[in-house]
Amino acid sequence: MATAAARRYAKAVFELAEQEGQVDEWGRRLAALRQSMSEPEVAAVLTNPTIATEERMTLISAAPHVFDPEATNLAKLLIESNRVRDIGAIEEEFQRLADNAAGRVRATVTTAVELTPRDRDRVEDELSKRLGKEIRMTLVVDPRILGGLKLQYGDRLVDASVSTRLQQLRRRLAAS
Amino acid sequence: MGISTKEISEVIKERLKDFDASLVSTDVGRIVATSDGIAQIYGLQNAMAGELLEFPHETYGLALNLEEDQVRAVILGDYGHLHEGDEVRTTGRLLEVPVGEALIGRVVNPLGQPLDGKGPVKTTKTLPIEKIAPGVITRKRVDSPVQTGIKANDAMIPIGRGQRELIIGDRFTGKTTVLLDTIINQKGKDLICVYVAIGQNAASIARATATLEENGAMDYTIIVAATASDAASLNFIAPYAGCAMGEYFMEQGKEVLCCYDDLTKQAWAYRELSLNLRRPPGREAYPGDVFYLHSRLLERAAKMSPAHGGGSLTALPVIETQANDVSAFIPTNVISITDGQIYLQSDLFNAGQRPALNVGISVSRVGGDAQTKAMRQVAGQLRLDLAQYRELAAFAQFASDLDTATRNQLERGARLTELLKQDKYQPVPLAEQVAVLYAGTQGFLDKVPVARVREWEAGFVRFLRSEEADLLSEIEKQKALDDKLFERLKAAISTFNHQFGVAADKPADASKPDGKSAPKGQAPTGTAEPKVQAPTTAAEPKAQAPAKAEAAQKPAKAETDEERPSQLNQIRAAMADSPAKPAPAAGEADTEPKPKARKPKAK
Repeated sequence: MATAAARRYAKAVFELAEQEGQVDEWGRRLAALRQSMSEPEVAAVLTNPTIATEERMTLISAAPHVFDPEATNLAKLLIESNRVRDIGAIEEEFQRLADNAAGRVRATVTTAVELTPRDRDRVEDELSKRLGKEIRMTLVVDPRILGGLKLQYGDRLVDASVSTRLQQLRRRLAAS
Repeated sequence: MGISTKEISEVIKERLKDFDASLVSTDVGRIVATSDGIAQIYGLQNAMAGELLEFPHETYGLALNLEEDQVRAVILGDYGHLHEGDEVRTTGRLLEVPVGEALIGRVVNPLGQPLDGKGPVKTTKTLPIEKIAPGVITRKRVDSPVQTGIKANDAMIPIGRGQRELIIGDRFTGKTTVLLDTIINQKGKDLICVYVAIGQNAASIARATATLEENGAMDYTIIVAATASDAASLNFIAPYAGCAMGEYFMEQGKEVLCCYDDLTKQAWAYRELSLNLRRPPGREAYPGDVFYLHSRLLERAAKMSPAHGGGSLTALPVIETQANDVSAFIPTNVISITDGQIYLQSDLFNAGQRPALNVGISVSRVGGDAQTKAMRQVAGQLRLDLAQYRELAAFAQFASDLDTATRNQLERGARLTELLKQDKYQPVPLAEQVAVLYAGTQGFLDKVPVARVREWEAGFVRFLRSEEADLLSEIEKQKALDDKLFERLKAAISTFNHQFGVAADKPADASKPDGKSAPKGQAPTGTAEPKVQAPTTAAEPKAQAPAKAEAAQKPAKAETDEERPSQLNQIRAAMADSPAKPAPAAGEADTEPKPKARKPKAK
């Protein structure tokens, strides 16, 4: 979840990346940072207030083979400003900004059974036509929705699942 | 049986047909945390302020705080079953309650769900609970009364249709009784009543319901109940829900009475919500918008112009004070919003004065216009008489012997006070009120012992009902008294006084020097004053020189405010003199059984 601070960091990184034309590189850097920094042991050390900030920063810079210089700088900044825990949110927000700029939308499709590739393409085409954007689709299988599909992009949810319809039907019939 | 199953399946088919249209497309968010009835929700970027949110398991919430990265919502009802990570959906609707005729006679919670075990409420319409009050153009002057059936109220603190009259007092001073009396008195009339109980214990609500049922008042009453065990969110929305249910009828041109019992508890509930929503606390820890909380509710009381249906919604909010402190935060707020207040006092209540109305500081800011003419004719003098009585009574406690005029006024006041007492749940019809108060203010009761005044009243009402029923119906019909009716009323009183064993000649005599009692020209309240002053002037020459000089300038400006100080001066003079000259004062009283002027003289 993106806190206000994470949003600002992400925006700053994204603007920098755009200027340098390195959006994809930065995306990879952030993903790498996220992966290592969200490991519990690493996070415990990097956020430990009993260790001096400088020492924690040298931990990162002492391992130049892990991150490239830009990523190391960002990591140091995060340690210095005590935002190590926000790295996940920063990465998510960065991806959102990058998607927006590139005219992409990330969507999650939930179905009860796995979609065939043909159905998948159909859903993708329909949605892309509707929104006028390229779709990056994630597929989720959840038997609890019984049938139909649930389509989520951003905060928007299109719910065409059988379970929701049954629930509505139940309410409608009970209301008489 | 076969037929009915077929019918049922037909109905279901019908429903299924139009059902298919609804594909849900909403905004979703997830619960980050819930505590104290508040849910923090991540997501819902497009939620509206005050939008109804749908939680899992048929639970609903109200989006109140829209923040930079989350939404805070109050959960309506139970929240024990909600967990972190649960999905929350927007509904695109504001919070609504069912409205309609089917609600009448029912006890419902603030969401319109039945609490009385009489099955589902079959309503078809809903209205949002928060609504902007009717504008200036759509309104009309408040010009007709809500008869409360309480003598003291109808005579001195009349409530108009569309008015907002506050009922304020300590705990256990009869605030709810005033409301229930008023509701009961609407039996057979055109008012639809909504009684909103906020934060009361369930037993009290059950008692109020039973009282209304016993008196046949549930035929036109809706009870909206949020008990003390309900969530603060329900207590908070209860008055708005009740108001919306009333507004439905107002919009149809009907007359509605909404009682909010009581708004102190609603303010508490709102304070609780606001603090849990992390809104900054202000005075007494209430949030900054606690004034708006009540003003937007009470502003919805209105008298609509004929072009807009001509309906009305009268609001009777209740505020409970602590230790008679009307200058606390919430009481001052609501006093300033409403068009007057009925102030109930515990010491009056304990002294047996019930309803325990403090006539001195209770006011109705639109009342005069809204009073029926008959009541205005009779009660115009009552307020003044009682005010004077209280002033005199305070002084009379020190003086052992008073001159006749003062004593007469004290006696009159004591009887009028006695006359305003009334048992609970026994509202008095307008015509009977008029008749009884007429007898009181005109001095027909002066010979009845104070202790027997209520007995006299009961007897007189019985007498009127059996012997003079047409007189009562005539007053009820004309809503005004002409000379003929006054004569008939006077004759009836004399007859009954005779039966009651009170000398018949006295009241007539007493009423004469009164001066103010001349029934004819007794039009609106204000004009009575000069007449009161007139006898005083005539009497003055008899007084001592200094008193005379002082009094001489008084009648020139015959106004209400002038009268009281002058009278006080006279009393003071009387008190100062009486030890020195006890004999003349006593002598005068003895030799002159009926002084020409009732006004005190400094002798």
